[in-house]
Amino acid sequence: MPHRMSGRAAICGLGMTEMGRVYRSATDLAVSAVHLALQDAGLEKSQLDGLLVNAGATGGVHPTLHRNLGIKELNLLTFMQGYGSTACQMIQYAAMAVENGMADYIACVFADDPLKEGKRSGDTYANRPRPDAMTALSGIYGFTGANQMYAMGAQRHMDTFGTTQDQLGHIAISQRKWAAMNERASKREPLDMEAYHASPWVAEPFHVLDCCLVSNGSVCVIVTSAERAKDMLQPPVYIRGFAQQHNHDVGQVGHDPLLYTGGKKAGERALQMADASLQDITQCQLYDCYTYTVLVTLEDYGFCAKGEGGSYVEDGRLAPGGSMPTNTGGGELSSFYMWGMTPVTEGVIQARGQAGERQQPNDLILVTGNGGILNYHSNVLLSPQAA
Amino acid sequence: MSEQPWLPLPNDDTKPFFDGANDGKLRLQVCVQCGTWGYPPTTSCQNCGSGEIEWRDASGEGIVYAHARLAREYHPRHKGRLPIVLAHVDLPEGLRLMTNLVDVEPTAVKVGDSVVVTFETFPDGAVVPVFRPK
Repeated sequence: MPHRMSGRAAICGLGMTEMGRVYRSATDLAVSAVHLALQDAGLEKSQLDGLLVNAGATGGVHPTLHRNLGIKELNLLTFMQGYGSTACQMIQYAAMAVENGMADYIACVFADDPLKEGKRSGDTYANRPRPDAMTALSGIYGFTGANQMYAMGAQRHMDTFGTTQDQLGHIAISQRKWAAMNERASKREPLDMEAYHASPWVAEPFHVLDCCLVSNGSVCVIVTSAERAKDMLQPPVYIRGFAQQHNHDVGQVGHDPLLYTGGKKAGERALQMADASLQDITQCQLYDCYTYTVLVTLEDYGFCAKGEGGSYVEDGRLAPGGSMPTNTGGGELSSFYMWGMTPVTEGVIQARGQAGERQQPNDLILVTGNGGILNYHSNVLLSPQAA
Repeated sequence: MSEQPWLPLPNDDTKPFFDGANDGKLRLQVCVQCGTWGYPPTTSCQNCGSGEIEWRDASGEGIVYAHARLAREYHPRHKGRLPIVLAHVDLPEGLRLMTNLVDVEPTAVKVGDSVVVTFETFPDGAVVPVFRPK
């Protein structure tokens, strides 16, 4: 039996601004995304009675977004921060809130504006001010951001299980093939293994092409009850299961968070809520800040055994025509980087059957979010069917 | 000599770590109540919450938990030294430490390698711990 929450809430609206080098403030972009989502759902602004806000790297959007939107009254409002896991988390809390009568239509908004005219794309993510000797030291060692930490995760996987550079490359190449079919994707030109290997190192074993893009933009999804979603403009996208599992490296020996993420337990619990099994999942929209994140997530959910992620991805399984279509919009590696909203947007588009030539079987779609250094994990299972 | 010091002056909470390095010791915090070692410096034990923390010299030995090779310069120290070997080293005291490995062929490093602390002196005179193969 599915849990009583399964299929009780649905996503009824999706708003996406332009992504990439769009030089508008995060708040300005967020206002646009909310209006686009309302329009998409066929809702009036006055019907919106809940707002959940998540800011990206620049912290440029706040709970005061309701003022920027000119919304006088809300039944529910807060700012949330679980980093890359926030997008799925917002949908989870919104689903529980609508099911329990706190609000009818809840907008879940992410916005970010790390790209500034005339600055390099990584500037916002590196070279942050270092106020004291100890934090300065970590930068002097070379630990200036997430790239280095995830690179250590990938290298640990390579040393432990024999995973190869080519296998990471297959993930980047597979996703680029999907991006070619997505007009919203920033990187659509074909990518082959030679070009992958020629891509400059960021922190070995990561090439630039192992790392996600940096994008300005905003996404809003509107969550409502399954009953209300039935008679709206868009096909309902039912929320069939969800969970979180956070797995923090607290600096103690014996814990192995670079190889084992919260995905395992979160996956088991979300499937349990949906009364489904792994075999029921027809496509994956996985958080892919790095190629390695995809690999370790596939293992932790059980699509292959721990350590076998490299061989699982190398035969084109994730690519168009493969048996497990994954990140079918190009993902954060090739389309745009809206933190956890990138996989959410593609999950919604696919669940609605609106993905055009990249449309894949959508019976049950796994969407994951990951934050920190594989520390924070969340998911939602989406479907065009309520049960 | 670099014009600007690389390391700002340590505060009272972090000074013993850098004083230890000046003495050629890997000096870290340990909880008096439960014996749990901690890093970075804190005022309460991560395990039991006790505020009774003291500084003690660690053995200086370690095992490589994870490593990668820095390929871009972010700091004057990185100039002409890439790739710098980034590492997390597991200490027998039970603590996992963020550091660099030196005196090693970067591509030869493997998870599980035995390493031992050594010290690097910066142009501004600051001394910091790094690790080398045992």
